[in-house]
Amino acid sequence: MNILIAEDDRISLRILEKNIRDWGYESVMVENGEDALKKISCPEVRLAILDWMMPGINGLEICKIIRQQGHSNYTYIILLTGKDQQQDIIEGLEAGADDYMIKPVNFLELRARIQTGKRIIDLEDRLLESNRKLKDLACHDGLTSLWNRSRILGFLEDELEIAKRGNSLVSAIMIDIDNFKQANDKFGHFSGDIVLQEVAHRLKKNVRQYDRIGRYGGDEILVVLPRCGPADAMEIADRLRRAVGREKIKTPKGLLDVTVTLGCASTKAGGRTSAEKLIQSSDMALYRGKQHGRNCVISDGGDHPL
Amino acid sequence: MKKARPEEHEAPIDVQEFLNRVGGGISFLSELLGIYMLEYQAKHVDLMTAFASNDMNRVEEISHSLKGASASLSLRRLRETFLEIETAARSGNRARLDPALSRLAEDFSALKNFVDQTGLLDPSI
Repeated sequence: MNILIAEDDRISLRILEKNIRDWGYESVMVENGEDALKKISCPEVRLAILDWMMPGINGLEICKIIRQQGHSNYTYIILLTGKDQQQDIIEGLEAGADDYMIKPVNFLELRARIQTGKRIIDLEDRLLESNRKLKDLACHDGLTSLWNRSRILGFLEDELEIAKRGNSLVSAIMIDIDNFKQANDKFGHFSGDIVLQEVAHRLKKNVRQYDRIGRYGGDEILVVLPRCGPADAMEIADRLRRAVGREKIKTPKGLLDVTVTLGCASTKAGGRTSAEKLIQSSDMALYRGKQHGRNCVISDGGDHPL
Repeated sequence: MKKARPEEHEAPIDVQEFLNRVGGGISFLSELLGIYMLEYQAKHVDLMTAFASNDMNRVEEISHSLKGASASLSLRRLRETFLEIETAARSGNRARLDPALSRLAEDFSALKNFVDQTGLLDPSI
């Protein structure tokens, strides 16, 4: 953990520097308020020891500014000062300091207070990590790790909005695993899950870096292709079809031949299409692909199947 | 509660208090004393200039800074004297400043003698 020390008195600065280094922390040292304000915004600085009285911006003002800015990573602030009146302590804490120490500082006490700060920072980090994981879980499909239905629809809506502003095209591919229900009935749901996971994995490996892929429902998977017209969408869809069917999928019930049918739909240049309409079009193309004999790519423009 | 002014016969540095509070041993104290001597000499000139030109804000600022440095090093007498100068400057009381500045010279001289006698000062400084 990096500790920022802002102190204009060279002796105090040297004492703080030595002790903090001896306690195993990294330190960043500055001697005035302006430099302190610059450094305190660095994400690696999680704890700051600020002298109240400093040239330029004082420690109290820095506390206020930092709390107003509301950084995503919390910075724990210990205010050091010779001001020992009760109203000074109240003013310091109300300005946003987490702790307050009166000079001359007892360094065993400071070490204990830094440890308190570190405990709070660690708690905050764990909370942020939990939030991140929850957010991740809320956006992903648990079985395939693809984006879930609401997230992939969100991406499609976002891309349509971007395309409208930038006058570019967006395509969608609806993918369905051929005869998945029969396979599930014949080989059991556990094998069905493995098939779904492996298909998702093969599709994910074969889309472009900026394409989005999500589980639309059951064995239906939706791919959103930004900046992509009908011809490119058909090409990508066929690449996905071949990637899935190239090798058999290993399940506890043996090796299974798995194929997919894909329906493509694209926005028109200068036109406006809603997410719902684009999905409907790709779904209809997919339906025609199923009727056509499966393991193929059909576009909503009525093009010949690939 | 206001602390009593340290007695004249007390050592200028409360070495034990410093070691308990700061740690780092005698060698670290020597290093810091070296920094203090240099800081004091430079700031004392500024302080006297500010006093001569009746710049009370500057007198207050310098004495506040040296008060903190003195407290950090457990220089109790010097700390008390700088507090007196700071308070007098804040209230614009020149009459109180004159004796306090004289005492400052005595206190610093006592510190120098103590440091010379005990060999506390880092010889590299």
